[in-house]
Amino acid sequence: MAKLKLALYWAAACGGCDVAVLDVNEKILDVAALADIVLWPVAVDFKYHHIEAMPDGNIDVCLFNGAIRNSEQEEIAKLLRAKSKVMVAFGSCACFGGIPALANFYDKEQIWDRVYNTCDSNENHDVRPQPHTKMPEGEIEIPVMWDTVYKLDDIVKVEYYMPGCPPTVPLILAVVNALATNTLPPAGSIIASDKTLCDECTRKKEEKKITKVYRSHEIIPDPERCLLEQGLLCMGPATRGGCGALCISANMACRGCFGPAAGVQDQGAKMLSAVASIYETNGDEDIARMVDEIVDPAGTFYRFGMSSSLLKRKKL
Amino acid sequence: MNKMLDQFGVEEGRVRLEWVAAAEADRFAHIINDMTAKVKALGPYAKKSSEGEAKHG
Repeated sequence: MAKLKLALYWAAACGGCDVAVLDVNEKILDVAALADIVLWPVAVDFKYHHIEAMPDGNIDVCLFNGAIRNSEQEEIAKLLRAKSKVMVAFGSCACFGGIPALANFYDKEQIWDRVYNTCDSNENHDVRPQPHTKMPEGEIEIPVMWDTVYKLDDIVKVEYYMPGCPPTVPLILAVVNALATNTLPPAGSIIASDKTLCDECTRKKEEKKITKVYRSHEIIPDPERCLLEQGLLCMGPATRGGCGALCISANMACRGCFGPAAGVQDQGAKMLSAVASIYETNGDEDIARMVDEIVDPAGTFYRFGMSSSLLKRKKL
Repeated sequence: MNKMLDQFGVEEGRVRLEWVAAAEADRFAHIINDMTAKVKALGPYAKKSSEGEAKHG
């Protein structure tokens, strides 16, 4: 069998997805035996013009991590889409917007004002990046940043979704194995579980009733019992499983990085509904106290999912 | 829910939760008329798109 051509790209991301690929350790050699890497900015020195020179559909698989929030990321997403037979949204940012999409609670002007002006460590006098700058050698250009962070399939067609912040090594190896044996699932599949995280959580579940919400630094939870029942906002009921319950095993509540569970349209709304239904109250005072205890509901319930939520962003 | 919608910039009054029994026709009509008037006063829930940004989503 001819070697596969594989491209890896990062857009609005932290680099953790690229590290996750390297985290497969010695199995990376299997990947190298299976595929020729034609683009991987973090590790391999190929340039955009090498990709542009290829005929369309020349790359077998593109693992694209990161959300789309500027003109360069859009351009490269479209370029890689045209050149790739299979496009994989790799990681929570490409699938749902991820952490970068929390910027959708602000607009570009607010972000720039914070980053370039009001940030305490800055000494800046309203100098901002300019998309075009005239220099003696000619005009130079940088990408244009947008108000809104998008998920990859808002911009280009995507065949597979690998959620996770980052996708776990077993899931990556499962995909590599599927590529090697040509047994990929039907296009449109999400490479994870069809059940919720609660379904694969082994903690003891008793009565789902809470009278107080805790933030993670406020209590040390019982390692055996359901975290939600202990008052921690564990995203398990609204979140897709398949991660191996890693955070839960470390006594940390789920933060929702695998995105909405199968059949759930809006992860945050689902979670809000779950919390509202288990909160035991004795009237308006209790309700007001709970609202205060959940300090940042939108940021908590949509931590990874803003771009895939129904509202997608704060109203501009 | 109102606190969360406020974070999304959705104005108070756009979303409202009421319980109406099947026998309370007048109350039902009153709530619907009141809601319609309030939302009309708020105007359309318009989303702007910044210049040069992909028109998606």
